[in-house]
Amino acid sequence: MVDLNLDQVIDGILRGRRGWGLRSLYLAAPESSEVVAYRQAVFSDLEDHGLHSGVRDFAGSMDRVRRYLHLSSRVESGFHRWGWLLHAALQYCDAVDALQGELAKAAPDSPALSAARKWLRAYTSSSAYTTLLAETRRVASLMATVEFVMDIRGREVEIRRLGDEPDYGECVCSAFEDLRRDARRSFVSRRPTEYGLSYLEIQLAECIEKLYPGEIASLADFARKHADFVDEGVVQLDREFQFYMAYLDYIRPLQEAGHAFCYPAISPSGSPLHARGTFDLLLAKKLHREGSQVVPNDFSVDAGERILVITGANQGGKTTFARMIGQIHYLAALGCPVPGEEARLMLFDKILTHFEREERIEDLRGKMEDDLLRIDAILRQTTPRTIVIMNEMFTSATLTDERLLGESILRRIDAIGCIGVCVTFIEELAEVGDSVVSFVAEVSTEDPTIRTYRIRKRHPDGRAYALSIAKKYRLTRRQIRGRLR
Amino acid sequence: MRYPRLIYPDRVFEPQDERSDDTELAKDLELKTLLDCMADGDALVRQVSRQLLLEMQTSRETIAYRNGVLSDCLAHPEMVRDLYSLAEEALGVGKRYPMGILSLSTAPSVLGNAVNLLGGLLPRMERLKGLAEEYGDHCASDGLGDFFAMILREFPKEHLDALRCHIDTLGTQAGFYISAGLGPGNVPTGHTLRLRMHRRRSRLERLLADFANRLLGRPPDSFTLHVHYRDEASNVALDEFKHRGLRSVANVLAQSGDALLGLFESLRRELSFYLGCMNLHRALSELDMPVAFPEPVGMRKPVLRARELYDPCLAITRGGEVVGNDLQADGKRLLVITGANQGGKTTFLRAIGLAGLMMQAGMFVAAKAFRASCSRRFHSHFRRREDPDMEAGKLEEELRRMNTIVENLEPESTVLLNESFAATNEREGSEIAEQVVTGLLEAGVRVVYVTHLHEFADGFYRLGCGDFLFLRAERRSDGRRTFRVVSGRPEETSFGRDLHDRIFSSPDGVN
Repeated sequence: MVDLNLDQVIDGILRGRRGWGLRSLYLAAPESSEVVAYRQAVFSDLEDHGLHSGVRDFAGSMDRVRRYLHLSSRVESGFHRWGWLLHAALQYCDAVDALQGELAKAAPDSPALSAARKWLRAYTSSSAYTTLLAETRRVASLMATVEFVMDIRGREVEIRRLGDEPDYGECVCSAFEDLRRDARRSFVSRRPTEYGLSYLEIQLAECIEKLYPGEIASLADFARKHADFVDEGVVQLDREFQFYMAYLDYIRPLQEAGHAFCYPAISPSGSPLHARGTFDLLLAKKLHREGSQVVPNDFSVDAGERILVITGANQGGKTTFARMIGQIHYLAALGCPVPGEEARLMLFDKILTHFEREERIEDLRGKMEDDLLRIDAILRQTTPRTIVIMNEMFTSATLTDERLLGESILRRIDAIGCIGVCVTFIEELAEVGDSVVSFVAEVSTEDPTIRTYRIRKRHPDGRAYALSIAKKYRLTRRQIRGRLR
Repeated sequence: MRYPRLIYPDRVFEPQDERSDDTELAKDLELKTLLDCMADGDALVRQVSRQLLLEMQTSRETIAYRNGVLSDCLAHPEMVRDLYSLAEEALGVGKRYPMGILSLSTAPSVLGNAVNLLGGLLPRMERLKGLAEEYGDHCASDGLGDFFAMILREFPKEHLDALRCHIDTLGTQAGFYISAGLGPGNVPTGHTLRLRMHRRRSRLERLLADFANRLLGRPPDSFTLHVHYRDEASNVALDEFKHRGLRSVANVLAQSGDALLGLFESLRRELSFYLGCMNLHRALSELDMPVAFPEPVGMRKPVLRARELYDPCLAITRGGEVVGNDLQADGKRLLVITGANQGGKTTFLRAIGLAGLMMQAGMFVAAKAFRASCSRRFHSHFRRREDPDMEAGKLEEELRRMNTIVENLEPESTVLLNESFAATNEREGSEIAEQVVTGLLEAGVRVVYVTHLHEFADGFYRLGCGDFLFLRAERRSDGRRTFRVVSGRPEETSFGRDLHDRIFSSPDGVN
């Protein structure tokens, strides 16, 4: 996960959506094409039927409902507790009604959403809900009539019902309306103070209860009857929507910037795979924030091919390319739309990665041994449905050792019959066998030091390699010139 | 309500921060003398006049607009003084009730301040209206005419009376009468200032009513609470309640007071320029020096024609008695002025520069008649004489200054050169001058050059270009200077000998 940067992608997706237990959903990629199809249909409904904003509003409303209920449970005085409960109920009914309207209007195709629509229709016509709705509205309109006046003189305050006293503030404001020049400039600074903590406010609540006894009694009665008005099914619906909305919200800015996403077709393992115009999600996000665009790439594995060897210019996007192959498979298995114009991908039982460890082990032999042990451990877990991604194995070894070990590992992967992705400097690895297919990170034809971040399926030509090895030692024409200046 | 537009037909004047040091041009043209005369001790007049003189307005419409306002002002000086002192008075009120300074301004305090401020400003608005009524018909200019018309239109008597009535009500009421409803969670919301319809009942009356209600089994109609002065939370809550109830009123009134204050501030600023022009006009008239509204023409073709053009600064410091020059330089892109030392060359150059600045500021000019094309900018490059010990670096210093000028140069500007590049020998100086002047002319810049560099001057003369004009500071055959500049071929000597002879032959050694 860390090697593929998926941890960062998931953190990004779940930003601002804590407390839903969504992470576990994103961390478990089911190995089931039915689940993938089921979720893809929901994603597609949410995207295509304009349900996106409706569902987002529903989520926002449900958020508020929870907040009001929390407030209601926290305040001590009945007066305010009932008030918050009523307000939560109002918000809840609005949310349910709006969602029901949206679903009815959009008429979603996916089995999941049409079931949700049916369920919601049944719920909203149940007597439990209709009673709640009627009661909520009745009490709310009753409470709207409660208006009182505070006649403040020094520290003496007289409280009474509001009569026919005109709104003098409005009167003054409209008289001076035309005189102002800058209506936005505020001379009065806001000082938010928390309500309900002082003796005066407690007394005020008591006074209002006595001034409007009928209204307050109705409210108390409402609160007694409808203390637990939230339906479990609605809560469940809200949570499950979050899974989809989190991902859609994450990719939306990229889609708006012109990046393509598609619903990948799922093919059985061993059959050809490909993706057109795909990219690394995290890198795209990062570049998007910086105002630039990621370079999309294609990859394909045809019949009989299983191992992708990626060579070419250093810093040319090789690692990103390898990471991207892992990422899109993972996202596809979650049932999400993946970066790219079109894709055909496979379901895997696991993705195994070998990326260079951060910590430097001084003893070269120790490091090589450690690498070998890790790779061995990986290969032991590998099945034909696994994806193995290896980035720059044995960089500490000599060229001969590196080639020898690399070849032997690729042969082992080939024997297992799983998909292997291997980033390396050693171009000979691309020639190991028929199942090996070569990808090359290209450089600009005019100036070999300019990287295009394009990776193409072709045979390595040796040139980019020479350049990148020179670069590694800072010995290109430009670099030498730069250093001697 | 629209703020006065006396400087620009389409916008109000915005003062810039005064730059700390003088620009080269202001220094070279001795703008300080002119500004001192205009300001007559008023810093604002000085600042605004300076900004406008250096602005180099190129829109002839705007120049004519200011000419119009200035004519009205010259015709009714007492009106300008009345308006100006009224504006100053109003700003004095504003100083007493400052707003928007405190970071934590509660609505009741803002409201109190705004009521006091408006209480002071509204009577001044009435006086402004009185002045508008008195002078509105006498002002021919769009600037003043529109302003007075706006005041009369937007502030009819009933409107001003209504505003004053509200201010009186808010100023005299005791306590606050605020209503509220119940919002989410039954927290009071929608705080609204109400007008009390009935007299507030006394404590005894309330007790009696309470008693009667209880006796009849009716619910009570009012409760009275007392907030203990040491109950901090309750006092905070009470303040918050007042704050919310008064917030919008306080804000609207503060915005209104601020806007009115802005009107007077803007009026004073815009008028200050004309006050400065009036001061200068009076000073020059008292010296019997002529002034005239100039005739600006477009920037395309070089036009420069004047009768009795003189340097107003010299007139002020000398107390009159300066010689005016006639000039006919239409179609000339280069003016080369040579001739006698102390013959009035620099003065003439300054006169041209100041007339250009004053014309493009929308003022009258120091001449009997003046017609000239506008310049995008004026730049001046005068030989610095103040640091004689630094002779060696002097040419470099000059070239550095020239470089700065060229960096900021736009076509259709005018460059005034005074003895530039004379810090080296004549041959080198002429060479540099030729390079610079040719370059400037080719870039579409006009040049007026006072110089002793004979090789340069005569070389250009011999080119015989129709758009060059050569002028000479006149010297009579007896060696006396007339301080007139006449056209003619550059002469080799600069008559330094005359000066030398006169100083050394006069009894007290100085002229």
